[in-house]
Amino acid sequence: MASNGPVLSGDARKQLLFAVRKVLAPIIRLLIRLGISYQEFAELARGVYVESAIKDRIGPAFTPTRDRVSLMTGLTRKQVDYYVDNENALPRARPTLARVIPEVLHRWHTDSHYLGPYGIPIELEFESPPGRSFKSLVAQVDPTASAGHVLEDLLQAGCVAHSGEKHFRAIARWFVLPDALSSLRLDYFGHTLSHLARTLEYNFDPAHVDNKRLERFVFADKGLSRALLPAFESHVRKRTVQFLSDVDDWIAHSGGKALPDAGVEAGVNVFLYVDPPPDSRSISELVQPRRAIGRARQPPRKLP
Amino acid sequence: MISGEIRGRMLFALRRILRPLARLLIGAGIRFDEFAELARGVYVESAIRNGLSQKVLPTRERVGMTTGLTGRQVDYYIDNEGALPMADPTLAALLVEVLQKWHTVPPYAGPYGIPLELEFDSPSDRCFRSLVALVDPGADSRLALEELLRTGAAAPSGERHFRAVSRSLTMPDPTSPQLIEHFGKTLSRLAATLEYNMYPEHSAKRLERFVIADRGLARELIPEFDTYVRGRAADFLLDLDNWLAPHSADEPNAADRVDTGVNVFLYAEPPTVDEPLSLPAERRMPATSGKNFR
Repeated sequence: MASNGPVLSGDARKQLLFAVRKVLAPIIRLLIRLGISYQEFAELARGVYVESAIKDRIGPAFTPTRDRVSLMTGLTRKQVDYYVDNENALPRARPTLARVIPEVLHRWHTDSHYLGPYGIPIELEFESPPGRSFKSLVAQVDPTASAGHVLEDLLQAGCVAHSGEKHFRAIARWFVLPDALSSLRLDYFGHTLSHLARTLEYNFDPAHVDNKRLERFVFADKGLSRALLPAFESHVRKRTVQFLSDVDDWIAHSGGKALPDAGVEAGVNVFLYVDPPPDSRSISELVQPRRAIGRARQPPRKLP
Repeated sequence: MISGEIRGRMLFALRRILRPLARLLIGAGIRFDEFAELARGVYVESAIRNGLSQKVLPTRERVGMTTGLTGRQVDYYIDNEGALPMADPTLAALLVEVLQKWHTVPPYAGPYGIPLELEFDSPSDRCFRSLVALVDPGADSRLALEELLRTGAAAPSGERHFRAVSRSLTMPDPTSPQLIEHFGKTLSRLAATLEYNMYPEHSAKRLERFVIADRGLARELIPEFDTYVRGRAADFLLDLDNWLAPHSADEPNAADRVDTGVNVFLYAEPPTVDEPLSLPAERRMPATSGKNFR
């Protein structure tokens, strides 16, 4: 037996593989668009299998030896060794400004030092006066971050605008990621999906049956008329701003004072989805017919 | 042209995303080769359905080139309809909708939106059976009731009646097909929304917003945070549900409808530290060199 995890029924196993297929589809679409081939994907996925088998301590009495990892993952010892012995076998990335930028906006809207009358964020010069400028605001969030880069990203995202010759004003409280495929977006893609996966996983755990994490949804029972979708989106947008502002205020007043090393990463996400219409065509209908090349067609065989 | 920086970011993002999937799969005893076979198929499928120009049907060679797979591998998935896993939908969507209607639609919801207690099949126009038929006339109402009782979302009341206990459906068994189905649907929907928003050709982005505790939250504050968010989220979602309710009536043209919804989730997890893979308890053979392994 390869694992000590829960034993799945045949139905549940089928459902799990189908679920993974669904989850992988949008991710792989993106990988193809970025020119990342299956081989690259598989090499990384193999490493993640090894990483998970070692770090996640699956099962009650798990002792992570290389042989055990090999048994659990179905990989050869040589493959396991490769990932264990090569620190650079799995990709690493330097942190982006993804965490700094929302916090700068948040502070600009909630820290009394940067607020004017009626709680409106004041317009700031880039570096003057030194104690109340855009630069000092960024330095409060992360003294190592480049205030110039942060400002550039905020201007590009339309969250901040020029005001006169020397000032900048905050336009939005929420950071909207830039449109194009960017480091920030990809970083966010990875973080957000793994956050949701962990929340779902946490809620699966019978140990958390009485204290599950919030994960709720509403949907249009019989679907929504396509013509009504923009109105629905617009309503959701307005309500989301209210909802998240309340949560943000709670964090600012009740919870934002944790020391970095004592805290856990926490947040709330809202997203709207629109499922694509079901496509019952098989993929063989969507490729050009095979060209006859002078040999009898053979029935498909199981891959080795 | 995609820069090396973007590729590197994507691979790092992929590493993060695959980790919980790998954990789940290993826990379920699904070995890497089975996962890899599935992923290969999704590569082929994605290249055909979405990744290539829609003006001309792609050739198998083109699919091979796009995915980096051999012709034989591509053929295998195209010629075998059963090569990619399929699963029948569970009853979860039906049950969610039955509960929703029980709480909102007259004559099943009484004054103040309190769901009425129902008999199984009497009177014929206001019973549990008619409620299920309202959602899906072809559904097995006995099976639906059994599931609601099993999950605790409904309970017997007296000898002949049933009452709705909860408006939401909670699965008691972590390995139930319904939960796994929910995992796949929810995660793929978020991935699709994020993916949609990433492409410049989609000028109108789908709503996707978040707030985070910038410096993290003290562990002991999480229950309080969760309670607060839960309360606000309930109002938020109820408002959206009320907006949707009048529009969910059967529409004549089914082809003109889209499946849409809004999901809220809270996360709280220790900061991730990227440590090298080490095996403290290992007693292993002398290390074999893994350099340049493929």
